[in-house]
Amino acid sequence: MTLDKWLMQAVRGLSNDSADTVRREIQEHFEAARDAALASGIDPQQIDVVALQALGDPGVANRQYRKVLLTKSEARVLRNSDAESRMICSTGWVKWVLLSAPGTMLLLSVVFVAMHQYSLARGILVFGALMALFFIAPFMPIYSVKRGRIYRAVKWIVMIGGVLVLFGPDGWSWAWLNSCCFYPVLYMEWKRMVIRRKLPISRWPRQLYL
Amino acid sequence: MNLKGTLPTLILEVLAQEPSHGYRIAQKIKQSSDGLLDFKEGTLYPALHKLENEGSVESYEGVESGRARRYYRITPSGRKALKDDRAEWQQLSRAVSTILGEA
Repeated sequence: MTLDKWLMQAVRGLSNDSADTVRREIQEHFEAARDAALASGIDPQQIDVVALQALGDPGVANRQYRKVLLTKSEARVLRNSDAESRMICSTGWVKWVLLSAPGTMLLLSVVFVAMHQYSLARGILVFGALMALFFIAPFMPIYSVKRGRIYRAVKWIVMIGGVLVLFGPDGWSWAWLNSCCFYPVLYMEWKRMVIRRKLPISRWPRQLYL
Repeated sequence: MNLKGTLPTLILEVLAQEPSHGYRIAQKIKQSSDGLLDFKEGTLYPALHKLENEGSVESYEGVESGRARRYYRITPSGRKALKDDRAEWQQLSRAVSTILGEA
């Protein structure tokens, strides 16, 4: 095996930036090992073999690297994770429509309660709460770990509470619908959680707090 | 001998003495243990990245023998983590010694 092949296996699945980091540090390490081996008088033909053996199994290194560096899919999620903010802020009228929608829905739900249309009022209220949660967040001053945790806790409480309010005791029979609707949200939340563990807080973009 | 999970503590111990680059850290751990603790050097860097993500070490660019190298140094929170790890290890070691001594 050559160093190039070792590196190819070690960086499999990692994002481009992560792969560059791994290549640079392993190459530096390899050169230092070669220099040390040369100085200690090892047969020059055996130096590369000895240095590679010391690095160990590239598959094991790859598994370890995936736990601490961003993978391709995580880097993609990170790149696209401000999509909601970009969409909201892209056009003036879209921004105001989306920001006023939750308030309008709250008012509508009050109207429907007054008209004794409880199930409709409930649905509109939950939908409005979810919209408020996702669309207003980019405009809130959430830029510290503590505030981020509070926001995420509220988000989960509202999401789970919304499902319970909408479906009540029949929630299980609607599980197929809930899993379809919430799968993208759960996937993004899972990926963001993994990214938060991997990136130092000083390198978090704003959207990771949300 | 490979003591799983102790590599971060050993790295912090080496860095507590002086800032160092990856290769030297690996060699120091092997030398300090008289070659008893042998680990594959490819797994050293993921452990360093983890420590860096946790804020226990920080890295910077340096030059040695005309070559650019990434150096690592321990941070105050890393020193605190090392102190905690030492205390935990001594406790564990005492407990195991007691049990083995009684056997």
